[in-house]
Amino acid sequence: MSLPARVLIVDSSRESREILKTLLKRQGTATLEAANARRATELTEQERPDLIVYDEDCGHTPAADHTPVDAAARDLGLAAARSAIPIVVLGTTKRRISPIPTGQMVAKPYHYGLLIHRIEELLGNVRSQPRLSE
Amino acid sequence: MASLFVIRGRDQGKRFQLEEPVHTVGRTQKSSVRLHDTEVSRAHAQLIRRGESYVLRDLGSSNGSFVNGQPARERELVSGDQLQFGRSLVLYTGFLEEPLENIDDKVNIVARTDNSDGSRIVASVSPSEGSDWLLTDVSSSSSPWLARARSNLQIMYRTALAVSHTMDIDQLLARIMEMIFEWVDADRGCIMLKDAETDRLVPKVRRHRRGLRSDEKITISKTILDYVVEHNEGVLTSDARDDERWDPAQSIVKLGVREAICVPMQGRYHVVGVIYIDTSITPQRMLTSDGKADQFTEEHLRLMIAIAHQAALAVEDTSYYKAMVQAERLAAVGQTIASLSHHIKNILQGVRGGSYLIELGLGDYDNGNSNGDNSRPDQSNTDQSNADQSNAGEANADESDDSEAQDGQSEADPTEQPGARADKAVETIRKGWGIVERNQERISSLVMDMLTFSKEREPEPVSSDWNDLATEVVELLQVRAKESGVELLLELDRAVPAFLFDPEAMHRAILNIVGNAIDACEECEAGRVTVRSHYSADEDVVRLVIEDNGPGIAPDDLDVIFNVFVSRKGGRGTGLGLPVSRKILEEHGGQILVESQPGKGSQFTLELPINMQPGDDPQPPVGGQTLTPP
Repeated sequence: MSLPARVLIVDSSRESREILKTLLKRQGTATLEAANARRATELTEQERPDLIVYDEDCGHTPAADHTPVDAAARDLGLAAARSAIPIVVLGTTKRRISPIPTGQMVAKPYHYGLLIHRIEELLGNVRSQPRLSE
Repeated sequence: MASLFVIRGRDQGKRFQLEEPVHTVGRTQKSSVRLHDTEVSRAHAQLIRRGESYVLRDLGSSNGSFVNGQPARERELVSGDQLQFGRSLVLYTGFLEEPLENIDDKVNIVARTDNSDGSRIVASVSPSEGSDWLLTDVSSSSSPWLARARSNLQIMYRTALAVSHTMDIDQLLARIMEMIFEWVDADRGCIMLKDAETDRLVPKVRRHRRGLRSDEKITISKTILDYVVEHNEGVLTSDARDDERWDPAQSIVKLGVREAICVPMQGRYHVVGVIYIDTSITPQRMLTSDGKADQFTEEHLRLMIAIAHQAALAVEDTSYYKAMVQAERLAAVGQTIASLSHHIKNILQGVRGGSYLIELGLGDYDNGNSNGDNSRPDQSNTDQSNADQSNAGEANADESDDSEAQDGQSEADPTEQPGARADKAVETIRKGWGIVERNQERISSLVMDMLTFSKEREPEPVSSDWNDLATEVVELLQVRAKESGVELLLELDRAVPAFLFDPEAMHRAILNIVGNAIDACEECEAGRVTVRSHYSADEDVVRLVIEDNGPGIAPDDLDVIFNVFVSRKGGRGTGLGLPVSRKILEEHGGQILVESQPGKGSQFTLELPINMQPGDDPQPPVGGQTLTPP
């Protein structure tokens, strides 16, 4: 039997993390949490989660200047790519301006049932393939 | 940095920063300057950086590229150029020019004249005298040539004055027409401006010679207007029949125009309109005068062109300014809507999350009860209405899950006691409900902030207790603080007197600031927010100091935190809380002071002067000062 999957939730809102954590827990998925991209990058490198869910509101000021070129988020995207960890980006509508263009884009407002389904699907893919780094 | 600013078209108000060596203008996503304009080609033009400027190169677009109204294949751009692609008009702003050369050391100002420079002052004229000279009656001049030259100079001077003193186009044109009539002996005159949308000439100002019937329509030959606009040339027609250029339409002849001057109003970019004056010489007038009085000369024509040019520049400035204001306004509206929808979207997301938890909890509850009903008849929750559900054989959706969950057990673990399972379901529902309620609170808070921000309202001061208000807000936020793992402390200065303020408005302000402090500490190890009231008798000022040990505010951000729609709270901030709070304090004659040390925390001080009024003395009112009930 494989180890339970671990999902890293990156969201500046404690409440949003709480919701996702509760939902994932119901599926028997363990979670890690980070409130910002910088911390998330550290956790990604230390803990190697199976999947990252990143809320785009984490780094930049919304609508202040439409240039969410967030270095921390970019680093997180790169760290995830290095370890071949899939990343789901919440809130993005445009891949072109996202700091994490490699992510799976989920536009807000999303339905939680569908989001969980998507996460499970991705986890299924991950679990069936051995990690590249191993 | 160089930029393009869209001043007309669907993207009006959008600004594109030019920083790459090559930018593509087009209507597809690939273009770095993307215009939502069906008349723009997919790859319409390129902007190529060449040194300190950009060069526009048309990429064979079907509708062409235009710079200041002229078709352009390849053209180096200068600041202020207007580029047209399809229906979109874009303003180019170049790089900042090199700082001006310091010429201080190249011009010597010496205290006294030395021998080599024998200059002396021979005459002096003050600026006002100089201008007066232009305005004095020309007939007093010595020579007729000078008199005429002065007369011409005078009208140019007055035109310049007229165009520099007004932003209202109609008023400006009326003044120019008036001046023309003072200067030249015309019967009728008219200024027409090109309509921006239809490109047709629309009359703006008309004028008649005094004594002439003013209700008479001015009929202007289209032939002349077309010629002037098309060729961008001023014309003087003295006898139309002799001039073959007018032959095809013959309209001048029919109208009986003898002399007319029609000049284009050529601005910096386009012909914005025309000025037309005419005079008809009837046989009677020929007899009464020497036949010369009404004649227009080429000098008149030249001067008219100069006047029209000045007027055109002013018209362009004004309409350009209006377009800019309009574009900026649209951009601001767009940003406002973007900010608000972003925030509302996040609230909606919270509501969805909460509702989903409730839905799951209800499902668990049903399943838990139906399972439990069969296996454990002695469960405590027998009073549930659906306890008699009999679908016991149906597997719980979660039963297939192993109990291997590392981070706590799955909510509907089949090995659990059914009672405990129902409890868990209720717990899930409660959690969901809490989230829904919090987001409901957020919506109402957003609406209140928006109202406070948009309304010009006078505070409604009533004698209130500052400490009570602080206590009320702190108690209200205690739950939120606890959820965020933040300690919320209150220290009251009992010396604070009751005084006049609007408690409802002030409640909002304090709520916003204390709420911010709690949010700031949310991710801290041992977050702590202290709310302290304080009364300074010397200054007669009441304060509320809100101190947190959060991450603090970056020095750069300190300048902008009070700006609308600036938030450093990610998805949770509306960017309204601080501006609204400041507005409330300022309406009370107070202010908000901020001190912050990055990494250590921030301190917000709400400061309110006590403008004590008779009868609002902090001491209990004595004798007759109490209000007698009716």
